[in-house]
Amino acid sequence: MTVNPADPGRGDVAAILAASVQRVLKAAETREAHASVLAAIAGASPEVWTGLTREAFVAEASALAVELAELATRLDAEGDALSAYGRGVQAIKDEQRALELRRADAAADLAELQRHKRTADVEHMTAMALVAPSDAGERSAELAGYIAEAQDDIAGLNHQWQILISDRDAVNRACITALSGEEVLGSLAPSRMRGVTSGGGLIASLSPTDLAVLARTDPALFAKIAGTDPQKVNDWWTGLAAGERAALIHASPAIIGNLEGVAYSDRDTANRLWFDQQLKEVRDVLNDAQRFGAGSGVVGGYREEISIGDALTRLHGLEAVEKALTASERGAARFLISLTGDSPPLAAVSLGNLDTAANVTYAVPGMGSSALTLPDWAASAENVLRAQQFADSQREHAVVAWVGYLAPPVGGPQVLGTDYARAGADNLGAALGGFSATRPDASLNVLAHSYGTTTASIALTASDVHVSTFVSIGSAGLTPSIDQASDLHADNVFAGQAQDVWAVDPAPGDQWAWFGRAFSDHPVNPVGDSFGAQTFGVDSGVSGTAVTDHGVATEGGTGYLDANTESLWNVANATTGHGDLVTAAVDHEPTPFQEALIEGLSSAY
Amino acid sequence: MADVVVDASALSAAASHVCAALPALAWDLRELDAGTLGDAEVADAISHVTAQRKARVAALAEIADITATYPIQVAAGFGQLEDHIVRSLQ
Repeated sequence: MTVNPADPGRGDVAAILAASVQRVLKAAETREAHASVLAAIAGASPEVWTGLTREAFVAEASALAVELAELATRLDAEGDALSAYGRGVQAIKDEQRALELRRADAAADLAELQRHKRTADVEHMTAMALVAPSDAGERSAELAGYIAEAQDDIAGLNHQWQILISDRDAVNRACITALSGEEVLGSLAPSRMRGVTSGGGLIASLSPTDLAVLARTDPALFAKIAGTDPQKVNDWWTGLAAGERAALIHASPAIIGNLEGVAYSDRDTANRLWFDQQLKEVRDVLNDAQRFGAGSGVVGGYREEISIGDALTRLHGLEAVEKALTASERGAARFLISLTGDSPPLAAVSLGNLDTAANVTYAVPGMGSSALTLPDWAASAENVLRAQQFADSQREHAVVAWVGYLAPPVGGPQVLGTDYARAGADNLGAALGGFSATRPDASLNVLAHSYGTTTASIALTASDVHVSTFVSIGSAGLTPSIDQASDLHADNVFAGQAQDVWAVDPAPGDQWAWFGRAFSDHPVNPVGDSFGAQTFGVDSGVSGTAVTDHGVATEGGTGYLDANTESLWNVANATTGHGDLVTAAVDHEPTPFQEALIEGLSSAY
Repeated sequence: MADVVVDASALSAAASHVCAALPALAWDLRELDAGTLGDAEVADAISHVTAQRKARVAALAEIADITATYPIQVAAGFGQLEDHIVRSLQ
């Protein structure tokens, strides 16, 4: 109870009643808006306008009209609640004033009686001392009776005051109940929301407008839709009108931008909005730090406190994402299909439209990859896309430069373990599952490089993930539990690997993939005979430049995904259903350095 | 399939009618604090309602904005088509 016991009638009744009137007037204004929208629907009759856009307009305007009518009703209910509250407070105030007057009168009476009694008592004592006759004793006794009555009166008034406090509490409770009820809050009233705790439940029980309201007023609850089955999300999202989708995007771009099952063009819109918000946030943090001093290294962002170091890392990551989103000349349009709030952020950029492409390839990078390397990874993805367009010009293709996991850092021991890969596999699995739910008609492929093959292969063992083709290049190895191509949920499995060479070996080749396999928890080589993948050449020189390095891109154009490499053409053929056209892998002879080593070792024995 | 427009002015009127709803979707009501209401819990309750109202009118304004663009876009597209036909005939 928060009633002030000294002032139970507290509150500005005139202001409360004015607020009530404001709401009723707002309800009337909203009804006029409702009538105007109905007039729009009536005016757009089939006699003056026909077609699909008209149908969409009428559907959307009709939904808007329903929302406006409901809003007016709820505003009226809110006005009624405030009016009842104002009148209740006024009644308490009136009663309080009357009680205060009566209490003041009773207190004055009591004081007067007590004064008279004290006088009578003195007279009585004096008369007794002088042995003089006096009626002061009788008067004192009579006054004592009056005083007792006056004290009873005051006790009664105090009791009434306590009742008044309880009455005010009841007035408050009645108002709170009314304001929390369905008539005021509609579907978002606590009584209606009770038990709705899952994302699927939210989608099923709330209108798009209610969800947009929830996103702004209870983001933690709204965020639960992130875990919803992508198929359900897709069914829901495709049934929304453009305005409803826009309202949800603006209400919660971070959630919608990464919600599996949502159309990718809408995710792009949401993520670009969230990108701008994040960029403003980190710039504000850094500007504040510059103006007010770094101090402890932590300054307030408008949403959360982030350290200056984190802000800088996020800023650089966001700038890299922005660069990765810039399409090259005559390049495919780019879409930001996922973005997190990490420092640096995780992100995925699609080259080509995932909503319309018939053939889609997720490209998963290896160790050292992050948002900072996304522009380079997107450039490699563009090479893949162009090669695919050449290999299969009949279909529309898209390639996703996916940096959706925290990759192990270069040079660290983490690359020899599988923790990063397993965490990344969960993210990749969710992304692939989301794509399959959103675009069941499209072919889906995964291309992975180095430690990305470790990550992607784990993702491809999940029961709800299935792809048409998995291509591994320069693999850092797969886990022992994935020792057969058939362990992967992929119709076709391809693997390419350049000559294994030591870093000190002057001969061209892949310096790191073998190291990753040899000394790690992921030793399985996907180009090994027993694995069962279809291997392809990357350094035979047939059909393209030979790969001479572990990287996907080198200055000399001899990385796995550099333009016109044998590797790139084979990746393109493998991921466009032309696996029969890949060039054969060659048996690698030992390099002179390796021969010398072998000879040296043999001589030693 | 493209829409067919018989009366472009009717489309313009339809868009105007939807746009006329927008002023009602601006939240211009005075905030009520605990001092005015005389109770902190009541103030919390009204603050919760107000937050929802603001979010709702923002969402509805988005919807109204986009709804109003349909007839405008169709009228513009149809106008361009008409111009194109006229130029072709000339």
